[in-house]
Amino acid sequence: MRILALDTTLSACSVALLADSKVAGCSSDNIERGHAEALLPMVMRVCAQAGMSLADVDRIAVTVGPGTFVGIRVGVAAARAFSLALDIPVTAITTLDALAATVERETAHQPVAAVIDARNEQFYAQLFAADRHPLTPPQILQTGALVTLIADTKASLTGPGAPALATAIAAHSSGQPKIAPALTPDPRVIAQLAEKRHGQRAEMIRPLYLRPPDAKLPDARTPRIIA
Amino acid sequence: MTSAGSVEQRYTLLGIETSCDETAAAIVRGHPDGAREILSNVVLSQLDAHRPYGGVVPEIAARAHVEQLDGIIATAMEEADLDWNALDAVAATAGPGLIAGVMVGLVTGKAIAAARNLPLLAVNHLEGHALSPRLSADVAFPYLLLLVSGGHCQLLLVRGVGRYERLGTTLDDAIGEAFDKTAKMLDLPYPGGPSVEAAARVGDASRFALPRPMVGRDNCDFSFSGLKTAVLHTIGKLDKLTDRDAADIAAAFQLAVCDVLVDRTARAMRLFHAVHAEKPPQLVIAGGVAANRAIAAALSGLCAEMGFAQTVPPLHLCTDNGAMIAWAGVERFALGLSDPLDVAPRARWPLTQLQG
Repeated sequence: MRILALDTTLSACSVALLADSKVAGCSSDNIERGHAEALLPMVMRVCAQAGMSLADVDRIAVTVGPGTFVGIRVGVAAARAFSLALDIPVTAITTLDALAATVERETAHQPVAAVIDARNEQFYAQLFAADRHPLTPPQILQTGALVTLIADTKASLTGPGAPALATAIAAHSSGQPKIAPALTPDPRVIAQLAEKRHGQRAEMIRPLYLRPPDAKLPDARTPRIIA
Repeated sequence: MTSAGSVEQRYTLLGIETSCDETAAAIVRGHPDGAREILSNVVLSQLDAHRPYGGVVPEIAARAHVEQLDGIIATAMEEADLDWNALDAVAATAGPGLIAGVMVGLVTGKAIAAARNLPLLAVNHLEGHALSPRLSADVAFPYLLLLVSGGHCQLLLVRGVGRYERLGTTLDDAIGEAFDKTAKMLDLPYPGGPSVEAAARVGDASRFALPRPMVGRDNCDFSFSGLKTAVLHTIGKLDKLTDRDAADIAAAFQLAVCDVLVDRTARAMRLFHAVHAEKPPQLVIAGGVAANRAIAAALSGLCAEMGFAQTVPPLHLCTDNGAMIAWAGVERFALGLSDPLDVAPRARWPLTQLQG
């Protein structure tokens, strides 16, 4: 099976192509912005590197968030369009799941908390047990609540929010949590995770924003109808 | 020199539009003899999602686009009864518009183009509107275009594909925005275009005097913020805004808008004559506000007076749609144009920056 993995949810733009469990092509650039420009040319380069065309791909793997709203949509839109035009299934992987899997080797037999800075003193976070069984759902938490959640778990921290959270934890207790550095998920790992899971129809692949749109409802007034 | 709408070879394009609050996809085919067919034209309006906010919320629009667009494209392909192999290229709106939504449509278009090994056309949304009359009728270049919509109010001289001269534009609000804001002040429902028009139909336009911003100025620009402020002051002088008052103010507002459009368009018509004295003069009205009957009647009167032929594409091609994007793609593709996969979405993209 050939799996094309995409990640544009954080600062990097990343693509990997897995063919029969072997990495056939991979590229990752920490571009911070411009994912809508960078993604498709990168996909074409990775396919060329693997000596394949998109028509050879059997499944798409994509990170669906949490992350930047714009970045999440670039990946999900591309994945759903590939699914439609190539008639192949998609496997959705959360960014937090992908981050935890990326540091699997460094954190073997330890619980891991994958964290992404969500601004406004909040983090997107998920806690995984030593066997990578999720202990919490992916969620958005205030820094204080997350520090409390992680306090006694001895979890290693990973993800782009790890250094900031480690500082917050150190300020609350004497312990200094271990950091397994990963600014971005490894796209090869995303493809490998997808290989173990099922593919789904494209309409099942929905962004995981974890935060509602920033829009305020105006004062409720019943509009007059003149006709 | 090709005749109106003609292309050298038959081209079938998918067109994708996501620059505001319509998720849209269409299949359009252009034939060598100049004939063109809309094989499908699917538009999903997000009106209900935005209505509670009294306007389009960009993040809500983008979230809806990404969950709906692939299904809309699938429906467009089914309704056209086409296989992917029947497509010659993919056209997607690359701007101007709400950037988060533009990005969803453009990335989707790029991914389909890459997957099916097809050329990509990154279409300017305004060019989609500008060329739309050539999709529904035999309209030859050059022509004068009045683009009136929720996001725009412009007068353009359309000389050819990619060859536009902007004669005037709004200095502040788009015309549709002015209708929405006026509706809000009058407690009329969103969207303001239809609700202000309905109220105006039963109102007395002469009861309140409202200004005609820019009328008589030596250019073709528009301004609507002063008119909006005048509406606010008029309401402020009333003890209580009754249905009668709301209808009368709506009528006065709509009449003021008509007068402004007629004055500005008349000036543009004289400029058209000065530049293209030898060409048959034509005015095309595009954009969703073309649906307003009072405005259409006022402009018809002006065309008759100035000796201009008038073309208004059918309403479903005036409001945002994928067919006009596919058609702009056909016209550009027929000229040998296409765009690379790294083309950037653009929030702002004046037509004058286009290459023909």
